[in-house]
Amino acid sequence: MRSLIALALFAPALALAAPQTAELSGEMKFISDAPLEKIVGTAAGAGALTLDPDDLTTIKGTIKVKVESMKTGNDQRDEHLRSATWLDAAQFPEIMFETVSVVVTKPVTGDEVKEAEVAVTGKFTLHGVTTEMTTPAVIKWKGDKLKVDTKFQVKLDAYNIKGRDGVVGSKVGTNIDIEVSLKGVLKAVAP
Amino acid sequence: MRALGIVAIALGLGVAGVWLASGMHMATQTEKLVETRTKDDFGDEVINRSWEKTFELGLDFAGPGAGGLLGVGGVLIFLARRRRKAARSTATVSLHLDAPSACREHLDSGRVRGPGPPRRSPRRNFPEFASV
Repeated sequence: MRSLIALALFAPALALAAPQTAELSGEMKFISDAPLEKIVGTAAGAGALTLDPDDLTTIKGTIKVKVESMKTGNDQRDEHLRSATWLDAAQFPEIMFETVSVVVTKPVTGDEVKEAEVAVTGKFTLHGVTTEMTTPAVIKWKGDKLKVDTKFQVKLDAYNIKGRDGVVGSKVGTNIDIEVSLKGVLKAVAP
Repeated sequence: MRALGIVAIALGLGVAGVWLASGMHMATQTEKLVETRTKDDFGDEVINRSWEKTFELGLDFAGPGAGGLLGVGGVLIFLARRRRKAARSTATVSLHLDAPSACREHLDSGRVRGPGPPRRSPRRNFPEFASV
């Protein structure tokens, strides 16, 4: 009887210890800070993540952002953003990040809310160009709720995004700051 | 015409003022990002973002608008001044031709400037005002 009660009490913890998966959804904020203009925009992000709380180095995940969902508060500018001159949404409809390896930079802390900091190396694809990128991320989970936050910078030149002549560097920043915040619900991985 | 010019310049300055007051954007903002802070399930402060319809004038419209209005206003004022100058000289010539004596009297009064006899002080023609 005692062992049954103990099992019932520790079952959630045991369940968390096993690898789990979560469908992620959230938002990406991007900031272009150029000498002539600061543009702030948002886009919807979605993805999936597999996480073993006992071994965060095994994290595997993919995050996708639809170029069509990118907004900057000016319809005409949004159209330009999606056009072939810029991100070419017709040919490259998604921006994608796929994890390759994870290094834990700050081990798991916390009792109710678990938190860890990791450096995620992955393949980042933008405008049809894939590069390897390492970005810091904060992972938090509480019960079955999961949250992933990351910030990184993208150099337009590295992804062959030229824009109109003379615009990059004056009205559009050469580097774009990106903040991603995704949430999901952890579920046990199907055997 | 001069009044129209002044109105156009005032409108141009107004457009420039609105642009300055609405954040000096390069592109007109039709939607504004509104950020509200709340606490999430983890006890963290999170920013909820939403887009709200707005109209913040950008340089794409304000530039040509203000520039055009100021330009039109300047041209109208310039034309008005030229027309007035032309009207003055015409008036002087017609006064000389049609009514030489009236013209002289008028010119002597000092109210009309332009080519013709040198201006004189009205006091010279009206000695009774000399003591005023």
